[in-house]
Amino acid sequence: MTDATPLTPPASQSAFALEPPAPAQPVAATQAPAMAPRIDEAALPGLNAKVSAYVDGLLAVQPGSPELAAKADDVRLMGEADIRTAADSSNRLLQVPVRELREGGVSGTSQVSRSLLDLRRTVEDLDPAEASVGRKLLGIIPFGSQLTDYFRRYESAQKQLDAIVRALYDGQDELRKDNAALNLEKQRLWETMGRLNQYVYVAERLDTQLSAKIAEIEVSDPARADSLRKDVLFYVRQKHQDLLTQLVVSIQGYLAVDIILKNNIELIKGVDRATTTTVSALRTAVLVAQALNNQKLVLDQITALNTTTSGMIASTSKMLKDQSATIQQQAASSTLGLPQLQQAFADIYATMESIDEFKVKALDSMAQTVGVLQAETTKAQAYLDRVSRDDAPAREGLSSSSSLDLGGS
Amino acid sequence: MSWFGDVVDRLRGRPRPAELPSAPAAPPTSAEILASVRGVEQQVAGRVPAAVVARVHGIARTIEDMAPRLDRFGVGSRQAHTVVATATSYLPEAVGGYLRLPREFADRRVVSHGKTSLMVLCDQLDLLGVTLDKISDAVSREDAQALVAHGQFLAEKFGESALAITPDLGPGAARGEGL
Repeated sequence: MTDATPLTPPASQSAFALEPPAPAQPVAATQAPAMAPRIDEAALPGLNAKVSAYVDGLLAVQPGSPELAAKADDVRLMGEADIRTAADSSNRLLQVPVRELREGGVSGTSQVSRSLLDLRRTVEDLDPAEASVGRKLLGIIPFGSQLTDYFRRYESAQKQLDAIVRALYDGQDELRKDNAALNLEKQRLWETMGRLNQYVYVAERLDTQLSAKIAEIEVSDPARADSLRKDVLFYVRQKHQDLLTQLVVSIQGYLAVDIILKNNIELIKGVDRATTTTVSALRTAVLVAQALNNQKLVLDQITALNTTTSGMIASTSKMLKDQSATIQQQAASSTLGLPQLQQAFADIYATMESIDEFKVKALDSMAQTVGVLQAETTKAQAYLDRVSRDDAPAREGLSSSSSLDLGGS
Repeated sequence: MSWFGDVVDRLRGRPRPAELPSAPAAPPTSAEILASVRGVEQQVAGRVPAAVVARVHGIARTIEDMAPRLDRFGVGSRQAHTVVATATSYLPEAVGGYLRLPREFADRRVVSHGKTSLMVLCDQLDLLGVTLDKISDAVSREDAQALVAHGQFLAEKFGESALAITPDLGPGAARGEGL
C-alpha cells in the first residue's frame, strides 16, 4: 500500500504561446504512394483481375492490328478523367495559400488583425502604467481625485471595448467559416488521392506483368516483343510517371490546406485569450477602484459572474471563471491595488505580442509553402500542355474512356 | 484624451501604431437586429417548405424576446454576440444559401452524408434554435432567481417564526369558533 503523500500539481503553464505549423516540404514522387490514402484491401482483387484480364487480352491480339492500337489506347487513356481533375484543381489549390497571405486570418487586413490593433490602442489609453496616470503616482499612495479621474476613463471606454470584443468574435467566426470550407476541400482532395493511388497500383502491376511477358516472348518472337515494348510498355511507364506527378501535386495541396487550417485554429485560440484577458482586466479595474478609492465603477454587469453559461461550457467561460476566482481571492485578501491592475494589463499585452509573433512566423511559413506548391503546379501544368497537344486532333469533343478505368467517380 | 497621448508620444519619439479608420463599427442596435430577422421571415414566405418556415418563425420569436434584454449581458459577452450574430449573420446566410438553389435540386438531390439541401438547412436551423433557447432560458432563469431571492427576503423580513406565540384574542374569540 502506497503512502498517502500528496500529489504534486502539474507544472504551471509557461507564458501563453502560439505555435505556427512548419512549412510544407517538397514531396518526392517515390514517397507519394506511401503518403496517399492506402488502397482498400477489398479493392485489390478487383484491380488485380483488371490487370490480368488486360494482359491476357493483349497477348491474344495480333501485332500491328487495329486491335493492338486499341489496347495501347487503353493504357494512354487510363484514369484520364481523374488526372485532369487533379491537374485542374492544383491551380485552384495554389490560390488558397496565396489568398490567405493577402486576406486570410494572419494577414494584416483581416478582421482579427484590425480589431487587435483597435484593442491595443484602447488598452494603451487605459493602461495604469502609462504616463497619463502619472509615473509619480505609482509607488506612492495615490491621490483621490487623480485616481477618480483615471477610473472614470473606464466608464467612457466601455462601449468601445464592447465593440472591439464583438468585432474580435466576428473575426473568429470568419476564421471558423474559412476552416469549414477548407475541411471540405481536404475531403475532396483525399478522395482524389485515393483514386490516383489505385491507378498507380494498376500501372505498377501492369509494368511488372508486361515486362515479364515481354521477356518470355523475346526468345521466340523478338519482333513482337519489340512491338509490345514500343507500343504498350512505353505508355504504361509514361502513365505511371504522370500519375505520380499528379499524386504529388495533390499531396502538396493537401499539406498546404492543412497548414492553413492549423494557422486559423491557433489564431482562434489567440483571440479567445485576448478577449478573456481584456474582460478580466475590466473586472480587476472595478475591484481595484472599490478597494483603493471606494469608487463604484459603473461597468454594466462586469463583476457578475457570467452564470448564463450554464450547460454551455466554452473554454472562454472557463478561463473567465478561473480568472474571476483569482481576482475575488485577491480582493478578499485585501492585497488588491494598482500592481494587480498593472499585471492584468501586462497579461493583455503579453497575449497581443504572442499573437503578433505567431503571425510573423505563420506568414513566413506560408510563403515558403506557396513556393513549394508553385513548383509542383508547374510540373502538373506541363503534363496538361503535353496531353492537349498530343491528343487534340484525334479526340476533339469525344469523352475519353478506357477499359482500365476505375468505375464511378 | 487619446490626442493628448498622441502629442506626448510624438514628443517622446515613441512609435505610433499604424493609422486606422478610428473606431470599430458600433454593434447593431436592437432595431437593426429585429429588422434583419423580419427581413429573413419575409424572404422565406411562400418560397420554402413549411418545415423551414416553422423553424425560422421559432428562431425569430426567440430573438424578439431577447432583443430588449441584450444589454443585460455585459461587456464582451459571448452569448450576446451569439444572439446578435444569429440575427444578422448565421440565420440569413443559412436561409440565403438554401434559397439560391433551384427548388428541385434543393429538395430532392442528396448533397452530403445522405441528406438533401433541405435536410441540411433544417439541421442548421434546429441547431440555431436550440442554442438560442438555451441562452434565453439561462437569462430567464437568472431573472427568476432574482424573484425567488426577493421572496426569501420578504419571507425572512415579514414571515412568522414557528416558535412565535400567537397573541391571545380574548374570551370573545373562543365563543365565536364554530360559527
